[in-house]
Amino acid sequence: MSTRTPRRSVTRTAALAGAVAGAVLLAGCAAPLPTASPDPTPTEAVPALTTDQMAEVRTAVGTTLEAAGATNDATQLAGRLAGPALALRTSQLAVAATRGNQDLVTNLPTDVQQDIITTTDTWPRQAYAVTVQPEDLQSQRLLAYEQTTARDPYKLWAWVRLFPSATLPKFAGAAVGSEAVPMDDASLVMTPADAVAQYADVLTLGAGSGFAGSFGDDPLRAWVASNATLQLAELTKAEGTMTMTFTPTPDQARAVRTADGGAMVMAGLSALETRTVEAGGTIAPGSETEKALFGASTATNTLNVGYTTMVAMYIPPAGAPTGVQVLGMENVATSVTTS
Amino acid sequence: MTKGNSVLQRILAAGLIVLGLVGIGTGVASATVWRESESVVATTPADGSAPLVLSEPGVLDMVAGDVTVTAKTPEDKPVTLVIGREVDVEGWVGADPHSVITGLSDWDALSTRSVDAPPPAEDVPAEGEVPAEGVAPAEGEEAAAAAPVVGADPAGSDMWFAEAAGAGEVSLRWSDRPGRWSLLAAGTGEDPATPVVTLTWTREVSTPWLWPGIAGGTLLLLAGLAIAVISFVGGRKGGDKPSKGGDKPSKRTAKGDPAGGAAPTAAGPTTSADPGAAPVAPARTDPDHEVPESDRSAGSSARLTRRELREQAERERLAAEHAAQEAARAQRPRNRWLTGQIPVVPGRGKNATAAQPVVPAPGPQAQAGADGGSTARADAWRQAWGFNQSKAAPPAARDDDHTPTPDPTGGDR
Repeated sequence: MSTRTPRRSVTRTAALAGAVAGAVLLAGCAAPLPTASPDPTPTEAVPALTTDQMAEVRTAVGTTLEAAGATNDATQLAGRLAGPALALRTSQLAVAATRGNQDLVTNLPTDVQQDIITTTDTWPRQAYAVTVQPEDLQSQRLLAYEQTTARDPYKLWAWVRLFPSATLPKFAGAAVGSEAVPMDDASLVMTPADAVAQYADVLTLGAGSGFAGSFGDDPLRAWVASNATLQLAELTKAEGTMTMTFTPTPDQARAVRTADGGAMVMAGLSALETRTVEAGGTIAPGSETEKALFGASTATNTLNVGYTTMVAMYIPPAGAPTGVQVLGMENVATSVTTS
Repeated sequence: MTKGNSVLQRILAAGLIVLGLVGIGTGVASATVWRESESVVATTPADGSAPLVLSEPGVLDMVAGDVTVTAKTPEDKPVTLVIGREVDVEGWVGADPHSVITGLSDWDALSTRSVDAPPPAEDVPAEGEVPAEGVAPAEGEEAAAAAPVVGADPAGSDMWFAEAAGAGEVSLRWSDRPGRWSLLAAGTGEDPATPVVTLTWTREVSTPWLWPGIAGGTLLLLAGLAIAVISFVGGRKGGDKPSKGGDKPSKRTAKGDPAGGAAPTAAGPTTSADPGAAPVAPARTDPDHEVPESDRSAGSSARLTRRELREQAERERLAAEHAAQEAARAQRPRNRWLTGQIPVVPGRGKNATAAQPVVPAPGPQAQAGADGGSTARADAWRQAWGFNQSKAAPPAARDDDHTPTPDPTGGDR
């Protein structure tokens, strides 16, 4: 028995060692289960859309505009248009249907020379595009798109025709992305909300506005002045009056950062032009659009012409020597009533 | 002491040889039968909680950059599969109840966690989508009848980078790119189903253990063989002593035993207990010694009938039961190694020179070992070494003649 015990312990040790060695070998063969190792969250905000996605958005909007325009069916627009753009385009298609002519429907090219994409991670999100010059050699368009909620598509929210004289500020590249600017951003010579309100005041009151000095002359102001002169020239013959009031549409202003730290703001406004003549007289609508909108209504001594107006402005960063510059506008009559 | 050392050496040698073989085998097996599959297919558990299943960033590329995503729904219900940036997918899902794929719980299973909708602050969610669990139970059947749950469809959003929609089953391929990407599978339509998501990766499988296994195993094997040689050469030298010489024959019988034990193979376990107890016992204690002696007599008088053999085996089994029960498990395989080792060693003994002619016993033993082989070779060997022992050998050869007789029965094994 004396020799038995040591030997048994030896064999046991050997067995144990063998088992351990086998286990280690097997464990070594089994690769560990991979785990998710995502890229780190980017420290700098990235554009919400790639340029490819942006191109698809523009194409989708263009397709919708084309389809709706081909049939003058404004009901198709809602899928890809919103805000003042939807209101204006709906009216334009109605006018075109009445006139049987598409001449007055604003041409909105889908080919662009520049995309401006915001880096917003929440909703709503905006993106902008500067189109090439349309075939009719009109000025370039600045298009604004917005995605209201995550489950909505990007929709054309507003557009303006850029003034030929205006110089568009520089923006960060589409691959870098531009910051969306809140309406009360204080890093500018004035907040975007103030800029819109003050410009509306300037349009309404002209040179009499207390803010007139903050804005240079621009084609929209010139048009408002010349229109007033033109209308009054006729209306005064019948002891008539004419007023035109611009009002910023609530919650219809969006701003995006420019490369120099300023901001570009786009806003929707509504304008009401009221023409009156002496009692007993009648005022007929003037332009083709007004006639189409007026339709077969009976003229009275009052004519209210409502406009849907969209403007784009450049607001320099705080401390800049220059004032706010209006870049472009769209101003189209969308309603004509007698009361 | 010398005897103990040589035994230890032989155990060590046997252990090393076995470990070496195991190492080589493991190395080869790791590159063949155990080689990991080149495709990893992992599926979410079908919990059916919510029609929205999304994945955490990093899940899509956790095994390989290229992944094929498949989403299945029962009864051919519509399903949409999209991939987008993490913020976009999470923004789209919003506060709806959903489940999130967090990783692998096994090589073929995805782990998920459920996210319930927050308690509804208002009666009607903004999206018009009624959270199935939050509202339906409270209002009961009326609500369910009034507003059938319609799964929102993520298809067509401008935010996605990959998208597929269909009924019953859809799949799409995705190659990883920089950024944080999430998958969203959504059961859509009325009464949406929870899609079962399967991720399939093709990966490169490396065989890192093949050559280390073979190399390490070979080293162990060579070391074991070397120790075995040293041990047996040393043993031969010590074998001049009569005590050693006396020991060998008992070894031989022990060795002859398994062969003889193989005869009544029909008895199965009883005979296998036989070689288990026998070779260990004789070396140790005197009382045990008697067992192999009777054993040997059994081996030599192999003309015993099978019944007698069986009875004898049974007796031995009973006698050795105490020892066997405790030690059999551990020792049996080892003893087999030892007995298995013996045929190797005489072969080596042939190569070894000095010790060989002196030892009379190994001759028969070698023959016993080579018993499946030719006796002619053994004779040639003896002649080469000028053995007259070959005269002593024939009886041993005749002994072997007994053993081959049972061999055919052993061949049934």
